[in-house]
Amino acid sequence: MSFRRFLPRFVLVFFLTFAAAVMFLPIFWTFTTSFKTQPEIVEVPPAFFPDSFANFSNYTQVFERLHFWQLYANSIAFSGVVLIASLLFASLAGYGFAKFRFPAREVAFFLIVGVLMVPFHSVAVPLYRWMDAMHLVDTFGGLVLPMLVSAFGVLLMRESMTTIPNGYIEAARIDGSSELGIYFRIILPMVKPALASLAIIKFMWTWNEFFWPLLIINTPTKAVVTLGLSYLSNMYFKEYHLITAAATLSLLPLVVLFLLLRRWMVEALTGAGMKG
Amino acid sequence: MNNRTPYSRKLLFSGILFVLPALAYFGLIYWYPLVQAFEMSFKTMLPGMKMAFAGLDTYKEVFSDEAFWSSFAHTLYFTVIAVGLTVGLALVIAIALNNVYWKSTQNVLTMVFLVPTLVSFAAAGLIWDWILHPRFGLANQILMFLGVSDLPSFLQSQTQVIPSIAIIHAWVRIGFSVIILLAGLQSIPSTYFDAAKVDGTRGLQLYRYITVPLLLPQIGAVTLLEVIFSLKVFDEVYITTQGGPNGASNVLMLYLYNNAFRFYRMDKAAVAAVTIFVVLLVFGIVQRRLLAGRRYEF
Amino acid sequence: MIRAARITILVILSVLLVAGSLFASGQQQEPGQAEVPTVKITHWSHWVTNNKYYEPYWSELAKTFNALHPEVNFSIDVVSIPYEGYEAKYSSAFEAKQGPGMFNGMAHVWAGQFDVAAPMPKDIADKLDSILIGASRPYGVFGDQRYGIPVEGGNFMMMYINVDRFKEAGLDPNNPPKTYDQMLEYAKKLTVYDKNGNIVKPGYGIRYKGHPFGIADKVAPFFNAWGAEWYNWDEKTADGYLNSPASVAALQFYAGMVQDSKVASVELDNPAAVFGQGLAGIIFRESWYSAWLSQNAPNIDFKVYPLPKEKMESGFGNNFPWSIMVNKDLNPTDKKWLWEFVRWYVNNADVRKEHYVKSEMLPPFSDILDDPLFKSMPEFQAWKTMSEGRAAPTYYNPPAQEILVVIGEATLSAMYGKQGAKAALDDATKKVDAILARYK
Repeated sequence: MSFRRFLPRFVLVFFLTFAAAVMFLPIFWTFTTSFKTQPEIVEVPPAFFPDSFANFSNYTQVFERLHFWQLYANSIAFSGVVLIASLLFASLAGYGFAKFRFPAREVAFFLIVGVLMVPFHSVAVPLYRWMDAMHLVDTFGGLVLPMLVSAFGVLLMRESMTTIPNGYIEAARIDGSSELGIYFRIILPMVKPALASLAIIKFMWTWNEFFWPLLIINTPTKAVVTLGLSYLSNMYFKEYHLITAAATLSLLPLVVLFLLLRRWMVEALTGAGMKG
Repeated sequence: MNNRTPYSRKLLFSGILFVLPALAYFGLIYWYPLVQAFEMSFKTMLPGMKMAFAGLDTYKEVFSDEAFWSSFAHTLYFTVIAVGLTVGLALVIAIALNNVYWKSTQNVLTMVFLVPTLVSFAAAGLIWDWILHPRFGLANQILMFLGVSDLPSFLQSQTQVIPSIAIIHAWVRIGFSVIILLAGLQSIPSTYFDAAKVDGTRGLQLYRYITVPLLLPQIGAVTLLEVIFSLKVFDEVYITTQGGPNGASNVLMLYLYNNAFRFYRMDKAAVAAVTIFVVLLVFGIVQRRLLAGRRYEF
Repeated sequence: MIRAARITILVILSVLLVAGSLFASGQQQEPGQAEVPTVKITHWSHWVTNNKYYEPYWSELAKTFNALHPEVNFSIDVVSIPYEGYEAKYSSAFEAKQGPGMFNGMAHVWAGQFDVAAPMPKDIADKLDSILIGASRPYGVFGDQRYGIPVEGGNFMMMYINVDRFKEAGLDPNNPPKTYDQMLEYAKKLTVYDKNGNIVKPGYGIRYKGHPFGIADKVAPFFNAWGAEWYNWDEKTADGYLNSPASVAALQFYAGMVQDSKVASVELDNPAAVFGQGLAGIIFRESWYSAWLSQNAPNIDFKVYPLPKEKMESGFGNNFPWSIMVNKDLNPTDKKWLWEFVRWYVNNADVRKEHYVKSEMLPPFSDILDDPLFKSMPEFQAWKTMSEGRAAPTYYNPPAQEILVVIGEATLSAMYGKQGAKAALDDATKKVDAILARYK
């Protein structure tokens, strides 16, 4: 490649890399702070790197105090179950709204997306009482039930399914395929990027959910990671050395999942699945 | 509508069946609590945790509360900045990423932009509280290094606090919009660009007349979503400023939370919730109308 | 190749999911034995993270009590509730009748506003009143009825000074200011400015960040020292109290530290951190702070003194009267045994002494103060002097939080120079009167 062609391309990548580094910096900062001791953190001015990267005391403290393995297990179960239900419900509904006509369709769609527009805090207490009426307080079912379907998921699925050319669907119908068959064999494969995106997003939102687990869970062994993190602040002060460690631990599974799914997502994004 | 063929009626039922699970779910789980939540706005809370029907009295009380209007104003101000930053920057970044020559580099860079989205707003608040510290935070350390003399106080300043929180918010949300816009960009067939170039369109004009209009559905969707998130901003404010300094970052959700859980005025909180809902509703409808004629099919 | 990778990923995810579900939700409880009644009390507290031993130790105490009473199977299960959002959790649980048997909270909220706390049996309440130090006696009380056991003895503010900064400024660290005017003079000497006139090292570390009710809590000693009161609950009026000349003078002094004499800064960190960084010369903080300093800022040489006085002593006062209370909706057997446990705790000084020595916390009980641990605490002398001194007015009423916010906002308004002290307090008085009016 000639230098004339190379230079602008390189410059673009350079600036993008700089921007990306700036975006990543706060996370890196949290990571390095998690290896500092308390006096190091309070120190003036604060050092960029900790005295020792081998200072795992914050991490061991977090694991001891917060039973982090249990928190991980609970969060994984919570987010995982919600993820699967969401993908299913949202894609079914998204397909229905995108490709079918029935009376009151817009009203029904609005009633679902409208849920997004209501602040959760105001619905939380009546919801809690509703769960209590069903004897689901302090249970996995109670934790999971209000999170199962995401209005956002329905929105996303509908948006991505609208662009599927009707030709495919018609052809399949003429071939005698059942509606569910069409859904599984034709529609779903065509919206892989949207599904992968929804998967990451829903898993991540559920993983980071704090208020609902706070209300519904009583038993410490059933707590999730976000609750664990909140135990590191109290009325008087925040234990930053532990919070940064716990935050890093909390982010880790998300990053792993993200790295695993991104290949699928990117491939589907750029690959043949898109337009023909 | 009786001129339906059996075939089209079958399609109709199939459609209903497909949306039924989600509808049933929301109906059973959310609508009852939702109605109750809105119902509380027509009641008033008495000492001893009892409620009495009050018609529009609570609305009057809330709408004459100066704290309510200031938090409303702050929220709108915040939304404009946050959404502007998020969508604007995401568009620039997505276009830049789309133009990266080397595929693997493009992938890696895209992923780095997406990582902050994994962080919860609360965690982001904690992290940035640290970074934006006026004396010891990384931000001002860097500014000092660059020789800036009048260092900003970010979250401590009454004028800078809302833009600062908007930066935190945008930091978390940019990656998400980048992904959606990038996907949209990559699905525009190159034929459009080829034709335009043949016509003599170049550089920025290309973006203005081809790229952005074709990207409008995605831009619209992303903007709506970001507006929804911004109007409901809460976690970052709760963790960092609790509405300070001197009430400068009091947002609607904080007003709601304080009234619901600290002053035990669920009635006033419900009014705030209804307000948020109505504003979002209006915005959603307006946005839909604006974009209605502008979808370009291809 | 790619297909294989995908399948592997899916398998790993499914395995994780299954494993997670298996281990999630913790263990189930085993059913108790039939013969002897089993009383399992759940204790909710947002205070667990404040002190390593205090709350968890209730489980241990329950075991000791259980050993003494073979006729019952008694245990206490301590659950830590995050401080952020604890009001939401408590209120939603109590409303749905899912509240805990025992909990840490403020009596004027859970007994006064929500009416979920059980009144304490008279004999226990009387015994408690006889052994509590004066400073802690109002905690756990609403109206004329006692509901809870006070948690902390050192829960009122004292004056912390930085010895090195005093020496730097030519002041004697063994000679603290005795009046607020003196304190202002000291602060002026202690404050260090940079070349632009901004405060680099404040003389007085002032609280301006965070929730307004924290702000009000920190300005309270000033009102108290000027002899000003916030409102009168019996008459349900703030007019004549919150906007009295004494109140205005107090707020003027406080805001003046920022606006006029410039010895306090609204641009540095919060007082606890700024003192820990060795910057602030003087701050007001409760007893827990000395322990925090030795852990987080061991290089700071500090001394603790009683608060200064103005027209009168600041007195011991606090806006967060934490106490341990009992749920009034407990079933009769559980409630009976829980009060038995409380009775045993209150009547046994040794038990209580062990509790507080292990927690390394100053107790609210006057009959166990002779332990060398307490005497060795840096704040002990100041604490003893103040707790035997004047009792500042308390405002433990249902709308307390709301009113604190109003006062906090007025304070901030004056501190930031938005309003003068009088104007800010006049506005605040109107708002507080409106709040109080709902309780008439």
